[in-house]
Amino acid sequence: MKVSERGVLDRRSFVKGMLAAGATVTVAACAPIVTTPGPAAPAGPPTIAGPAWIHPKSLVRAAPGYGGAHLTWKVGDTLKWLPPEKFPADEAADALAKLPKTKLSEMYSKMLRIRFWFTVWKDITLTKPEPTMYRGLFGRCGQEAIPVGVSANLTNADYVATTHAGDHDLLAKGVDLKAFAAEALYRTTGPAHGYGGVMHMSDLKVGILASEGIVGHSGPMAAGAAWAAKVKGTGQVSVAYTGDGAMQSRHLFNSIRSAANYKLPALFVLEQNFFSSGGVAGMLSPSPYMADYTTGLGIPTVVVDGNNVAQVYAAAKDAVDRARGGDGPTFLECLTQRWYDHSGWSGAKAGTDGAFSMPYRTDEELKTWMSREPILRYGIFLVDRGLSTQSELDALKATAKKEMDDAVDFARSSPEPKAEDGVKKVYPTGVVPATQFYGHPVVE
Amino acid sequence: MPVTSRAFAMLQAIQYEMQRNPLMVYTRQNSIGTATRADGKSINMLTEFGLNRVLARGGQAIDEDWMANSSIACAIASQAPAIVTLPGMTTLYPIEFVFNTMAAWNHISGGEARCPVVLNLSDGGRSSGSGQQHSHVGEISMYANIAGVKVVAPHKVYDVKGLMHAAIRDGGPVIIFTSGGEASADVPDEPFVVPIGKAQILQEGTDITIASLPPATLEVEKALPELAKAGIKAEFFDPRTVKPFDEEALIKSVTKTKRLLVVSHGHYTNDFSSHIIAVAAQAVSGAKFYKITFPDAPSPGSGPMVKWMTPDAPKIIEAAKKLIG
Repeated sequence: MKVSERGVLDRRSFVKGMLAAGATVTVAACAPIVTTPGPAAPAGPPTIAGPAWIHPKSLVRAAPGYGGAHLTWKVGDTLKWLPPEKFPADEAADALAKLPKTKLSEMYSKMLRIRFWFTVWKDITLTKPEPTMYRGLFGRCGQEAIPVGVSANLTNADYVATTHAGDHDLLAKGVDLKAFAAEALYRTTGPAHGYGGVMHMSDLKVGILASEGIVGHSGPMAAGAAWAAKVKGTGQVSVAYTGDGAMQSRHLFNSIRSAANYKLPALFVLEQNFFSSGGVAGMLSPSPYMADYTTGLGIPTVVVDGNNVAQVYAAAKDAVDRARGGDGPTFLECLTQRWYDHSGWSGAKAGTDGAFSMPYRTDEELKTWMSREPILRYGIFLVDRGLSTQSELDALKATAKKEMDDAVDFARSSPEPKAEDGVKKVYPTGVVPATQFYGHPVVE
Repeated sequence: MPVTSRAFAMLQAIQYEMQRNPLMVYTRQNSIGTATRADGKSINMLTEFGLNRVLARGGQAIDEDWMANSSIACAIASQAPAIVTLPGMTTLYPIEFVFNTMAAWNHISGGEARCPVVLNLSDGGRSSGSGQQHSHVGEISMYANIAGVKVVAPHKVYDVKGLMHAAIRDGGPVIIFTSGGEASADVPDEPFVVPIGKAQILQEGTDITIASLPPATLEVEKALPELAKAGIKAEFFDPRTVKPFDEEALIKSVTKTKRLLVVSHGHYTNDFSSHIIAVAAQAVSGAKFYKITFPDAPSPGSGPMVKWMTPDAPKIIEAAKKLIG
């Protein structure tokens, strides 16, 4: 049998061969059998950026010296992923150092803004709580480098979707600090006018699609926005931030799968702080690395030190360039640690950093992570490389603190929404009757 | 006017709107969106609009959750309508994202971010042999309770097309149940809008108001001639919109007839028929009310069982007569 160069089975030679072999052949009129050449052999495993000790090369076995996560996790085990004191002198650090000084300072300021957002609200809540504020703020001091490193590659036109515990993600994307503070106190001057609160809101003018309360929702939100970007053809990209717990959600995994299938311009950033709500990520999952869930999809899967803003920046830059170029999504897992409890200020004190006496983490463990925190290490990098001086950094810190204090004042002096506005804004058009009253009046 | 099937009417409305707004998207499972009318006119959504806008490469992933979720997000990002058509038995699959995000988003964002999604579901009806997981009717009532969505359920093919146009132009999330009901009819080729929130009287009468949603509407239609022969002047009330329900029109009808029979093929407890009765009962004193529905039992595969359990024309006629007394 002859198979032509184009892979089309030559019927004539096939029949001739069969006849020669003694077969009785009846040839019915039909289209040629086309065997297209198989797809090119897939490229090797996706590149893993970051230090080799962070991610195992195999999908199946656990990290060296670690054992099956869900069987052997002990309190204190997060220290196996502790980063070094300083940024390694790697390609990522060099890439970051090349950025203009204004950008480097802006990134430093953004990280401070996030730090003060949480510490100022903490101190207020633990001394004289704001009556209109939801007490369960999600303190993410320690995770500042992740959204700041990612956002350094984004513009206002790019989309971000995050969790209800994503204040740091929203601030890094560029929500106005004063408006954000007002929303935290449910005032009309917030981006959602006091309806949603910071846990669920949009701010489309800076590309914030949504923060949402349902774990895993940010995956499809970002993927759907990436779909919109693809339709528009503008080269916009879309970023989903999630925590480690979200990898257990069908929403997140399925959106990564479909983003891969349709090559949607998305970046899935997973903030791995090892604790999923009150539980332990390594006990909820057969693998401690959430990246192990996505390597099989054939998309670039990267694990970095999430307390190293250079590594986050560089990995995100690759991913954003890939997405803008039409090459589809990337999964970026950033290892880090949060200083406070999942929600609320249990174990914390006004005027002191960190939440101690947590059942899932030793005090020594937290203090060690805090000594490798992102703002400290970024500052060391900037000074070591001569990109900034300590006094410049101190000045940025003072400015950031003042901005936060001003934001709180703005929020406190902003008006609350009218109670009867609760039945408004349900639909873009049409009103909802106030059925809590006899007569079900329509309140205009 | 050309004879048009429900499927064609629905698709033609979507096609028209998508031709005029390049940011609109459409996705569905199991097919790329095709329909052919009796006169030969045909629609093929994938070839007309391309894979970017019709995210269904031969059909979408068998993941109705993803289909709805991504459409919801796409609509919020582009602020342009996104349309999702889901197959029969998966009606409740995306309910979590609908409940928590699609319905809530206009309100959550303080009106800053609309969610212009048309979710096209099936309350398709039952047939012999389908069995419990393939015979869903009544999910309308579950979606109706979600705060923030509008829900429409057209019986007539004309209303399928007109309400689909209205739903797309609404700017907010609308759930449209397009299967069940009149199979085909003469429908104009041009676009037109049937307003959301307006019921209609399909047959006027003075003795009894019979209100029904598809697919039960087909059985009501079969019952009407028999009722007329028995001297009963029935008023056939077609809500068309489930939420916001046309309370004024229903109250007007029941005030006239003083008898309301609601026929539903959904399951008894908390079916939408309960809400229809509550609306009328609050406003019309001295009237009599009754509802006949499929029982609070899953729909079996055995044809005779299903037929016996369904409020069909003979049972409707009997109930109407008993209500009149």
